[in-house]
Amino acid sequence: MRLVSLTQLNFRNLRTPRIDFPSGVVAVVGRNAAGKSNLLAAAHLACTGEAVGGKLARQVRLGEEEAYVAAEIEHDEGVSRVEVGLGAGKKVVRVDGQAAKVGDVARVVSAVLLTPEDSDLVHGPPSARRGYLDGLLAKLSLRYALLHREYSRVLEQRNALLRAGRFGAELVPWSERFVALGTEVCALRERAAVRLAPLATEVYREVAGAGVLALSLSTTHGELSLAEALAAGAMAERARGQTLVGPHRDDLRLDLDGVSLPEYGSRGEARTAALALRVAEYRLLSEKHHEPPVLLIDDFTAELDATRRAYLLALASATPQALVSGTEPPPLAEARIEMTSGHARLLEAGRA
Amino acid sequence: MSVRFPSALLTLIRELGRLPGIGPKSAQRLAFYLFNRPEEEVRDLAEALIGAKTGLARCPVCFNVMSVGQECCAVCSDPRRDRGLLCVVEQPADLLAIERSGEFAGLYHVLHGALSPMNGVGPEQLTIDALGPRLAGLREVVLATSTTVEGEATAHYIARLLAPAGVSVSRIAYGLPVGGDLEYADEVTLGRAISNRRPV
Repeated sequence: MRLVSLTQLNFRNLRTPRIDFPSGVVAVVGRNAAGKSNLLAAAHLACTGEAVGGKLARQVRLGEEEAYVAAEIEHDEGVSRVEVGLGAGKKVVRVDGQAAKVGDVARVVSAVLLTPEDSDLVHGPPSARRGYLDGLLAKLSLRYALLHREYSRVLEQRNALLRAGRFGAELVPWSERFVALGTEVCALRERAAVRLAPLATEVYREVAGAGVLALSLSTTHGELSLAEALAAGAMAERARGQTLVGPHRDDLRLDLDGVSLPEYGSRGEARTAALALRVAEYRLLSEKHHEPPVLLIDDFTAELDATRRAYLLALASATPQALVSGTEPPPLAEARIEMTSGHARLLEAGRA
Repeated sequence: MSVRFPSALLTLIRELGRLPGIGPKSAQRLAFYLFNRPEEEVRDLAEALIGAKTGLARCPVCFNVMSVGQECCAVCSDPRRDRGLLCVVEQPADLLAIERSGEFAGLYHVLHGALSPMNGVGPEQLTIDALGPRLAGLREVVLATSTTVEGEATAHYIARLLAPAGVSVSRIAYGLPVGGDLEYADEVTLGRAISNRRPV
């Protein structure tokens, strides 16, 4: 896939209304706070419908109420136009001019973003790893996106009852729906983890040369079924006033040679593992779309390890299009976009 | 000193602003619109509002809307209705939608909402208690609450509640819209339509 152009209004600190992108490795260079990461974040939003970096309000320029990002993306079946409007905590998505759900974007196009913050996937809290898994699954399956939203809603309703101390017959239908949806969420995550694991293991070995990275789902219900675990923890959840078991508290377990990475991993091991997770995501999406997604590599200059940096750059030059940001251009860049205080300027391929 | 609207106008804007889906700006626009209409027209609207409030009541049997003074609503008083069938819906508007389909000839029970603990709606806030006394003589209860998270939970709750009574309970089917192309159906709807398939 190839990002042909990006149009934006009020997206973070970006100023240039329209930016065109050539194929191949496109360097995005500029000083700190020039808007390099924001350009990549805008590209990610327009290629996936999903914002990076949390709250929607943070995607809008300071002092403005609404933002808009649109992209033309070329893929095997033609060119798709994705538009995303943000405002008042809401997101409106259009695909080829038609109102669409977020999942509809994932049906046609996709992108993978690699950032220095990815090491949080390993050393961060379980919510970071759940977020990774949920984000990936939402790109792979519209069913998962809808299922997960329904699950979250049931969970909120159930927690409201627990907080209010209403444990009677009223709780039963919510528990039943919770178990049914939660079991399905777990099953889809399990399936994704099983497909992801060998890919991540392979990438880890390619980069590090040694070490077996193992991925598995670690659930709060363990050997029990979700229904049994919920029944067993009834007293505890009543005392705490919230649902204590279920996929909203599960974790993606990462082990290196049988030892827990989040607990004992070194910083280097964590970065390599995070890279492996993102590249595995890239490969799964390539498999789904039968062509590689748009690759976005944020701040490759922050990667100081020579082996990982070489791996990143090799990956970028092997894919149809990669936007690679940094304080200097990557060696193999075929074109270059210069960022200065939110303004983007594409330099001729010859001068890159 | 800033100029303020006369208090009669402010009161009207505030009252209109309480209506669902009406924000402060819409309320102000509506208030000025009404101010500019002939008095007769505004009076008709006011009378319609009062009339709807004082002239309407909930049917004591099924909680559908009916005119004040009637013993029960148009459905409950219709002798041609099948009294062995009862359809449970969330709102009077849902009842009307099912009536328009012409497929259902039984009686109704209007809940006036769906369970939503986050919004403080429990079984006591709905008309669920009144369902028990209506079970005598019923062959089947059809649960036609929405397929939202809240509608599903409400259907589950009622199904459990009715289980000891031994009456047959069914849930409306999930499926594809008639005249719709399969390829345009979303995955969840299509998945449910396939798992709920039936022999032909």
